[in-house]
Amino acid sequence: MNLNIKSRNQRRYDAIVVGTGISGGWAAKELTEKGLNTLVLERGRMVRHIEDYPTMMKHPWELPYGNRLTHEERTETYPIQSRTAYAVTQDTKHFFVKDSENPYIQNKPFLWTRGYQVGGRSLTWGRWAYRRGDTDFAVYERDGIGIDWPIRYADIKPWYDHVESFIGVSGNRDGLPQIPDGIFLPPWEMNCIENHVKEKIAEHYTDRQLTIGRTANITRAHNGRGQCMARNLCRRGCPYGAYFSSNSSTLPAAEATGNMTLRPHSIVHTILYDKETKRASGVRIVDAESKESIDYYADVIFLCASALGSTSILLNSLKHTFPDGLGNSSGELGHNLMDNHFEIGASGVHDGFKDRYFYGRRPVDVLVPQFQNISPETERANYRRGFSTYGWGGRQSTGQGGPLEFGAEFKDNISTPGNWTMTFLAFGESLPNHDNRVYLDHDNTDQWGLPKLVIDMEWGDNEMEMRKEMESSSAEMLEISGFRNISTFNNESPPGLSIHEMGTARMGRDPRTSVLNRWNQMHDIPNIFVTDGACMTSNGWGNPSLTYMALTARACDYAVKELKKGNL
Amino acid sequence: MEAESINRREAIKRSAALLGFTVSTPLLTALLNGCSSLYDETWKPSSLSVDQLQAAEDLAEVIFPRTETPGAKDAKVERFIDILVDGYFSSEEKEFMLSGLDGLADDNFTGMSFEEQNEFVKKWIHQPEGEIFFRFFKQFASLGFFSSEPGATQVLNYQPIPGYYSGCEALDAVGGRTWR
Repeated sequence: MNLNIKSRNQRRYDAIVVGTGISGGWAAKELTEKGLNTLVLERGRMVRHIEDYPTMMKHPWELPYGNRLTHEERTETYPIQSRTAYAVTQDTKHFFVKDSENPYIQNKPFLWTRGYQVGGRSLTWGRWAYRRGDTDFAVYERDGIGIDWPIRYADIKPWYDHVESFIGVSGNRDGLPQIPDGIFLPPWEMNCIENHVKEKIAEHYTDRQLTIGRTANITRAHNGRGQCMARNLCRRGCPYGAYFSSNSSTLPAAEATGNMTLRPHSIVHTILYDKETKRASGVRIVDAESKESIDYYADVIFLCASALGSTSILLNSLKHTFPDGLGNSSGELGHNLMDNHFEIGASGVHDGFKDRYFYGRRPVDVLVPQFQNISPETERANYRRGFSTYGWGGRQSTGQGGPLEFGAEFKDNISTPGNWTMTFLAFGESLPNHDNRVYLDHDNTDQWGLPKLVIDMEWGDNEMEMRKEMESSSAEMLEISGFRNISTFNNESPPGLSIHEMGTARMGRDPRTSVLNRWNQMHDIPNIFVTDGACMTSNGWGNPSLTYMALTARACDYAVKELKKGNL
Repeated sequence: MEAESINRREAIKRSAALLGFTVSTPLLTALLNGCSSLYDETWKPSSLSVDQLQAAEDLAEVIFPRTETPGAKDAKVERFIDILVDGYFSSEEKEFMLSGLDGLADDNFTGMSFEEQNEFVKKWIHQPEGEIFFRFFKQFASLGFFSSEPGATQVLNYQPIPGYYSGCEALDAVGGRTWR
C-alpha cells in the first residue's frame, strides 16, 4: 500500500490527536463521541487491551532472573529507564523505550522516562488521582512566582467530575482544600501501623493529617471493567481492566463510536500551516517502520504527545512550517520545564502489633497532603510552595537477618513477618524558571531524521530549602508515633526521575508570557490545542494525570463548540 | 507439606470464587505445579562445571536448608545461579561467582557432609575472602530461592490473586508466614 498516492481527501479528517497516553486517549474519546471523524496517531507499536499484556498472569518463577533486568539491560539497553521511580523489570520492560534506540541530549542530568506504544505511559503510571484546588490554581495571587493560571478550580471542577465518573477513582472524602473531594468509589483500607500513625498524627498536629491514597484502581466493578483483585501487578497491564489506562478505558470508548482511525508507528514530524487561512492544516508524519513521509489533514489538532513530545513537535514546526516564529511569539515555548523532586524522607521500626498482619497487595499507599504555604497561617519563611508526603507501612520480610546469617533458624525467621515498619517519602514542587528549558539540536538527528531534544534543567535554591523540611518532617512524624531506629534518607533526585515533567508550553492569560490560553488553545494558532503536561503553569506537589485528563476533556468540549461556530 | 498444599488449594479456590469462576481439577493441578524447565530431568548447565554446580547447590542448601519446608536443593537454586552466570551478570560478577565456587570446590567443600559444610561456613564467613563471596552469593541465592515455586509458595505465603485487601487481620488467620 502506498499511502502517498492516496488522494488528499482520503487523508483528511475532522480532527487529529497526536499521542495515545493519558491525554491522547481522552482527546480521542471526547472528540469521537462528539461526532468528529478523528485520526489518532501514536509513534509506537500497537498494544491491545489484555491480549498484548504478555506477563499479566506470570508467577514469580515464570519470569527470568528473579524479574530483574540483566547487567547488559541495565547498562546498555535501558540505562535511563531503569533509573526511574518505577523499577523497569522483566515483567514490564516491554512498556518502556529502549534508551539505546531513543537518544536525547542531557545538558544537565535529566532522566526522561518514556513508553512509546499505544496507551503510552498510561499503562505504567502510578495511578494516584488527585484534584488540584485553588491552593494550586490561585497560588500566584499569594506568592507572585511565575504567571497566574488562567483558570480556577471552579472552571475545571465539572471536568474533574466528568473524568472521575468515567475512570473510577477510589478515595476518601477528606474535606481538605488542597485535595478537593470528588466522586469516589470506596477507599482502600489502611493497615494496622498506618492507622496507628494516622491517630498519632491527629493527636500531635493540627496542621496535617494522614489519608489513604486516591487511586484509579476501581474497588468495585465500574463501567464494564472488573474490580481490582489486589494483586498490585498493574504495570504489567491488568486482565480485569481494574486500573485506568487508555487501553482499558478511553480508546475502547473511542473505538466504539466508529469515528476513530488509530495509526500506530506514526511519528509526527511537524504541524503543517496554511498561510491563507492562518490555521494549522494538518501534520506530517514519518512512518516509524518504513520511514516514509505522509501528510494528514484536519480542522483541529490536539497535541497530547507528552510534555516534551508535544513541545518537540511545536519546536520542529517553528523551524520548518510556522512563519515568523508563530507559535512562539511569547518566547516561552520550550521554557519553564518543571518536575517534582523527591527521593527524600525517613523510615523506622515499630515494636507493636506483632500479632497482626494484612491480607492482599494494596495498589496504593497513604498520603500526608501538603501542609505548607497553602494559607497565611502555613507560610514558610525560607521557601515557597510545598510538598506532600507519601507513606507505607508493612512488616519486615525476606530482608530480615544480618548478611552473614544462614541456616534453619535464619530461614524460619525470615519466613515469619518481622517488625512493622513505616516509610515516608516526600514529593516537592519546583518553581517555574525560564532557564529550565528544552530545545532541538537540528544538526543532530535520530534514526528517523528528527532532531534530538536537548534538556537543560536543574533544581534551584527554593527546592533545596524545601528539602530540609521534607526530610525533618518525615522523621518527626515517625518519632511522635513511637518508632525507633529512625533513619532519614536524601538521595540524588535528578529532574525527570519522578516522571512528572511538565511545562514548556504553559497556559496563561497574556499571549506575551504564555503559549496557550485558558482553553489549552494556542494564542497564535487557534486550531491547535495542547492538553498534556506541557500546558502546566505551575508544578504542584505531584500526581498531575487527573488534571491532564480534565483539561483535555474541557478543551475538547470547547474545541468542538468553536468548530461548530466556525471559529476554528 | 500436605497441609501446605491443601491451604494453597483452598486459597486458589477462594480467589476463584471471588472472580466468579470455578477451577477445574486439571487447571488447579496446573496452577499448583507451575511449569518450568528448571525441574526437567534433562536440564543441563549452560555456564557452570559439574564441580561449580555442586558447590553452588551445597552452599545454597547450607543457607536455606530443607526443614519442615523445602530448601535450596528443592528449589534448584544452583540452576538459577547457572542462569545468572549465563545471561544476567556483568563479566566481573560472572568471574567472581565462578572463581568463588572453584575456591569452595578446591577446599573440598563439596566432599563434606552437610554438618561439616555448616561448620566450614561458620568459620569461612569470618575470613575476608569467605565473607565477601558469601555476601555476594547469598543475595542471589535468596533471589532465586524466593522466586522459585517452592520458596514462594511453601516457605513464604504466596497468593497470586488475593481478591481484596484487608489492612489488619490476626496473623494466624492469614497464614502466619511472610507474604511473597
